[in-house]
Amino acid sequence: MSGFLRLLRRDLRLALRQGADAAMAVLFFVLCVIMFPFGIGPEPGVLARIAPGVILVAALLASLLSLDRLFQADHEDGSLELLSLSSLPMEAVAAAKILAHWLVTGLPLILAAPLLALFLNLPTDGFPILLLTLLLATPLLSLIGGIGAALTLGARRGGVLLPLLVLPLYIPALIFAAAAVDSVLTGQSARPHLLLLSGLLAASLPLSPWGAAAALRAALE
Amino acid sequence: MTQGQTQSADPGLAARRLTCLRGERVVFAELDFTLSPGGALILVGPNGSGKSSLLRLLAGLSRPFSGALTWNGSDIAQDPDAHRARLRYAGHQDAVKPTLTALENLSVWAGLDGLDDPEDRAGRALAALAMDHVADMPGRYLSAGQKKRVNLARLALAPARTAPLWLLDEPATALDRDSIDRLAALIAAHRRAGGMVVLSTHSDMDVADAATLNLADFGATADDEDESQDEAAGVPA
Repeated sequence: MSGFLRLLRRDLRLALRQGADAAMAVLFFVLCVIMFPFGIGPEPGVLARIAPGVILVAALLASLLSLDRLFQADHEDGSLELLSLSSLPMEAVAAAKILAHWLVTGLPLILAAPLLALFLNLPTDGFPILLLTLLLATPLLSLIGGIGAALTLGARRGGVLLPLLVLPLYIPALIFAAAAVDSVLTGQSARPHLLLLSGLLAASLPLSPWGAAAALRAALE
Repeated sequence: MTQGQTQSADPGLAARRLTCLRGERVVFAELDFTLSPGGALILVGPNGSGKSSLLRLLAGLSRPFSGALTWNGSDIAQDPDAHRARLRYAGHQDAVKPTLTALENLSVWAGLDGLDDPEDRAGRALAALAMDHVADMPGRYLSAGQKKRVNLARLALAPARTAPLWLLDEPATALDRDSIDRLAALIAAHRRAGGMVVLSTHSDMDVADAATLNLADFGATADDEDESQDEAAGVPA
């Protein structure tokens, strides 16, 4: 088994034993979405109109919730130092930890999304495209967030700095993801939006671990 | 045995005119030493004299301001991957995860070092530090000394020829007398097999014919010292 898989397995095991982290992100996601009918009023037409945007923004915030711990726990107990001395390149360390973050927080959000779409009265033909955009957008959130988490490592009040740094970078993903769902609901093709979203994902897959690794090395100096 | 050889082609680790800065302050300057296979170097000096900084430099975790570190005559900065593979570093932090058992904690590191049978090796390494009875105990139930021993057990994972250089930052802290003796035995076996050890210590550890390096001898001049104290006094608590 390669070092990458070992580190991934360790992080997943840590997340499963702690349990609360993954459950917290999903609960936050659900509660966040449920707040909207209370605030806006239970008009089915209005809720259906805002459903894609609300679900995507809530998913984005939920994924942000556990992001500041992504490298911090390992930084605090000295594991990151030892990982940097291991045979695994720092880029692979960052990639494994980002993938673990997506599996632990991103994937459960996708599973909870249909229920929330039902709450918000999203038309049923919007369900597949919503899940597809979430499948493309949530890894993007973990990838972009990974750079932010590495950059704010060791910074004072890093937990507050991180959303300020990362949220503006989430905007393109949010625009294309919401537009993809909207276009299907209005009878248009979602293809251009999905292609742009996939393009963003394809660009961040190699760039994000590389950037995060550079930030981690700087944090360890 | 460990000092006094200055030719750069000597096998082992050598530092030439090493200078380390922390912020704007000189921690130590113009430091020279050589360490041959089988040798041990004990770093002593008061708090803040740069023992940990030197160990981090030797591990490649930070870079010297000036000077060079060589392994078998070639600069370690030229092949950091090879240097990382040959060293084992144990710092102040124990890197023990509270939710993983002692054995799981250790086998993760064994696996990441690319060793075969990580669980088996981890079990044997724990036994070397008399920690096998708590192998299945989660990290959060371990005492400070036991966590330290789990961290030090990483040293016993691989043979000396795989990872010849041990860098230990106050390994005896929080250890009881028996554990210190076991660590000393581990170090002695490592050196017999051709390994090298650099360790910093405040307590008296039994390391046979080891060279001692007092970092206070390489510290900043008296003027600099006053200056840095003034600066420190100016910082509000």
